[in-house]
This record gives sequence, structure tokens and C-alpha cells, in this order.
Amino acid sequence: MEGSVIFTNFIFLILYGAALAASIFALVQKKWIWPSLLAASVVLLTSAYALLEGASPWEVIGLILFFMILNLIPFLRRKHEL
Amino acid sequence: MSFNSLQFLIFLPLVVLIYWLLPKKARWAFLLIASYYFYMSWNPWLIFLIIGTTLVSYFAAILMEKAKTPGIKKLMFAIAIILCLGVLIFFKYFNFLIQSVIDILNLFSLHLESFSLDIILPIGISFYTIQVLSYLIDAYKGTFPAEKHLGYYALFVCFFPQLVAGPIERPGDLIPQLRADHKFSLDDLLIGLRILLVGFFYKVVIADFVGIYINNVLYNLGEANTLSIFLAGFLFTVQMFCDFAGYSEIATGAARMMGIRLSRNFDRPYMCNSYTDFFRRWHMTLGRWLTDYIYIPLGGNKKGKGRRILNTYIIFLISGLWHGAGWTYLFWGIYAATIMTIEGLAIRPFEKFLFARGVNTKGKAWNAMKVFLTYFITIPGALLFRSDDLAHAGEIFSGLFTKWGFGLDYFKASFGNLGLDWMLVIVILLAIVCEWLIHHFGELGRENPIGEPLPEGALTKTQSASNLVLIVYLITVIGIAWVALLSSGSMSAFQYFQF
Repeated sequence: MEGSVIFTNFIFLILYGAALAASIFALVQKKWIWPSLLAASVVLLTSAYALLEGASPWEVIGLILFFMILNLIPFLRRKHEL
Repeated sequence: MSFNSLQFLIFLPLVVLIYWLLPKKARWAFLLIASYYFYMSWNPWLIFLIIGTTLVSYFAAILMEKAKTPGIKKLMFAIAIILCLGVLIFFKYFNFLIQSVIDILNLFSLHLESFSLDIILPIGISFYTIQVLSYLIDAYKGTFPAEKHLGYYALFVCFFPQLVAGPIERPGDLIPQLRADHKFSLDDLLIGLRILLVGFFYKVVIADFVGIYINNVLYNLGEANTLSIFLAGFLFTVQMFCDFAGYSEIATGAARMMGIRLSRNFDRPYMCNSYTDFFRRWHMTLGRWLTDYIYIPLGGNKKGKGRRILNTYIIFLISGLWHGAGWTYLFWGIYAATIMTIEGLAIRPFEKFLFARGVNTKGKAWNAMKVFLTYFITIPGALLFRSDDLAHAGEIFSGLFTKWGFGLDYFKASFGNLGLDWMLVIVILLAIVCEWLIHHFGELGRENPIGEPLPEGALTKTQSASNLVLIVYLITVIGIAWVALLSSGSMSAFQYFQF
């Protein structure tokens, strides 16, 4: 595991913070599909950028998994539709 | 061409695209050529074994159907079984049998030299052989008519998604689907893609990742302690499930993208509350095969306790040997059969005893404890399964029971032996939580009548959106993990390919 690029870079912190805000918004709102998709897109683009900047792949994967869980929970709340 | 290879990434989309562009009459021929090509990418010459097995079983079934006397029918059946099983025994067990005989004779001071033939184990031979055997047995019993179309039958034997590691299909389930005129449906295609990606997630993100740390312990046993071996055993249960369930999901997803439904192979096996239930939900298609074609004909559990125990041992010894020609597999079979026997004889009386004394043996807490204990029991079996040979197994178990210790340094050493730091532990835990979570989406649209595409609008807005979110995330995570594993040289073959 290399040193953490993500947690020491201000831009990444802002972008992942925005994705976190959108995910939490999706979690508490009734209109939740678009915030979820928006959060997913931000996470994926930021992760790609972080990888290019030399972040460790498994660190990035950990963050994506975290957001994946967060973004899937709203769907589970509508389990009757699944 | 393994599922987790770059060639398969090109092969599958091409096959799916051409399959849907072709008229129905040409699809079987195209799939047959694609399946043979898929198999020949390992070793072109071994395709003749599949073709030979296909021709023998195809003609034997037709001759059995046309046989005028039961004697001739039985003779045809016996010849076909001997030929098909003979190929499997020769390629998979010849060296093991010879070496075992030599070892036993050497025990009696007859000093014989080791002898072995340079035989290649044809990939997937155990899988396609027992699929052929089920066809022959069904045709002999008359429960499935002999397939007259050689092309459809050949495709049943070698359908590429499930050719090398299952799910093991019955002729009655697969052949009618190969014959059906499937209509294209975008929902079906996306559901297939999602199932396939879930399989890749299991394999690339979890199984191969944890595999790195398991090897650190099991091949450096001198430095390992009890806790690190136990943790390696825990991780191996995760790896074994994700590796094999991953393969089954990739196979199911790939077939589904062409409108074909394969049988379910796993149903949350680590959530079982008994070892018996575990084997009902682990490699379900093999379990059903062994039950229907061996256990029930032997009398099953209807001929008394003694016979039931004997049948259980027979089934698990066969299952162990089916997995591999080695003593560790035989010992695994004995271990599993012994646990099941003890469970069958003792658990219910024990629960009755406790219930009579006020313990709530029907409550959730008791059930949760049984789930935990069942999982705990699978770990020694898994370690036995993972051992290279009996000497390696002995080393693992001796380390597991003798290298105890306590304190912070001991815990640090245990994780250090695995090569894990706290960040990697978090990634592994997140991956396991994701497995639990995506299981809830895994069933979405999976079951609908065989041969029927999903009707338009069958998926709700929620379902389509969750499918999309899941697909996007999975593609990204798998892509990154794939590159990371490839660049570090840690990508491994599917464990079940060796069977």
C-alpha cells in the first residue's frame, strides 16, 4: 500500500465530499434516483483521476465500495419494488 | 481462455452479438463452433475427447431407445457408461490409483518404484462427463427421450458458459432451451450483464484479492501462528465461495445474455444453520446430481439409520474423489460425512433435551448460534481442501492447534503474517458487505419462464435504476481490481478448473 494521495489532496477531498453529500441527500430524499446516479458519476470520475495521480488501486477500490454501499442502500429501502 | 482473461472480454461480446444477429436455425451451429473454439483455446487436441464422449453417448441413447429387448438396452447403457467413465478414470485417476497401490504395497515392505504416466488432465472433464452420465441415465430410465439432433446434443455437452466448471445441467433443463426460439430483450441482456458482473466482482475483487494473503500464511507455515492460520482459513472460505460462485454467476450471466437460463448453483451457503443444509446450498447442481443418481438409488434415508450413514459416507467419498485425485479430498469426504452423521444422530435429541429444560431452541438467538457454528465447522474442511497433500495438511493443522498466544504483539504478528494492514482489512470487510448487499439485487429478474424474454416494462423504474447503478459501479471496481491484479501478477485461475 502506497502513501495516501487521496486523503492529503484537497481537490479529492472536495470531490469525494460532494459525492458523499449527494449520497446522503439520496438517502434521505424521496426523489433519490438522480442524486444516486450523480454521486456514482462523481465517485467514478474522481477515482479515475486519483488513480492517474498515483493513488493506490486498493485504496480507491475501498472508497468505491464504500460509495457503492451508500448508493445501493436507497434502493434497498424500496425493497418491495425490487 | 479463462473467464478472467482479456480474450474472453473480446470473445463473449462478439459471440452474443453474432448470436442475436443470426436467424434461429443457425444459432446452434454458431454456438457449437464458439464452444469448441472456447475449449480448444486451452488445448486443441483435447476437443477429440469431448467429441468422442458426445458421439458415444448420442448413439448409445438412440440405440437404447430402439433396443428390442431390455438386455440389449442394458448392454448399450453399460458400454456407454464404461466408455465415458473410463475416459474420466484414465485421465484423472490413473496415476493416483497406481501410486496408491504402490504406496500400500510398500507399507508391506514390497519396495516398488514409483510409476506414473505423463497424462494431461483435460480441463472440465469431471463436469461434462457427469452431465453426459445424467443424459445416459435419463435416457435409459426413459425420463428424457434420446435427442435426435446431433447438433443440439453436442451443444448440450459443450455449451461454453458452463463447460469447464458448471453449473451441471440436466438434459431436460438445457436441451429444450437450446432448441427454443429466443427473442431479444434489452432487459434480459442487462440482467445477464449484471449477473455476469456480480460474478466478476466475486472473482476479481474478492477471491483473487484475499487469495494473496492466504498464500502468505499457508506457504510460510514456519512463521504462522494459530490465529493467522485460522484467519487464513476464514479468508479461504470467502475465497472458495467467491471463486466458485463467481464462476457460476459469470456462466449464468453469459448464458442469460443469450436468453438461456442456467440452474442456480449457490444459495447463501454460509447462512445455513446445519452442515446438511450447507450441502443443499453449496454447489447445488452437483449435490442434486449425487442425490438423484447415487444416494436415492442406494436407498437414501429410507432403509434405516445404518444404511443412511453408509450412503452418506459413499456420497461424500465420491464427492471428494470427484473433486480431485488425492488423499486430502478423500479425507475431506470423510470429515464431511462424519460431521453430517453426528449432526443427523445428535442435534435433534440434544435440542429436545435443552428445550425440555427451558432453553428456547426455536428462537432467533439459537438459530444464529447454529449458523455461526456451522460456518465454524466449514473452516477445517476448507483447510483440508486447500492443502496440497497430506503432509501439508498435517503441517497446517499442527500449526492451528499448537501455536497459541495472547497479547497485542501476538495479534500484530498474526495480521503481519497475512501481510495485511488496517486499510486492507477495511477493503476486505467492505467487499464482504458489498457481497451481502448485491445479493439482494442478484435475484432481480433472474427467474422468469424458460425461453421467454422479459415482457416490456417488466422492470420498474427502481429496478432499472438499481441495475444501472450496480452495473456502472461493478464495471469500475472490476476494471481497477483487474488491472491491479494483472500488474502485480496476483491474478489466479479459477480454483474449480482443476476439478
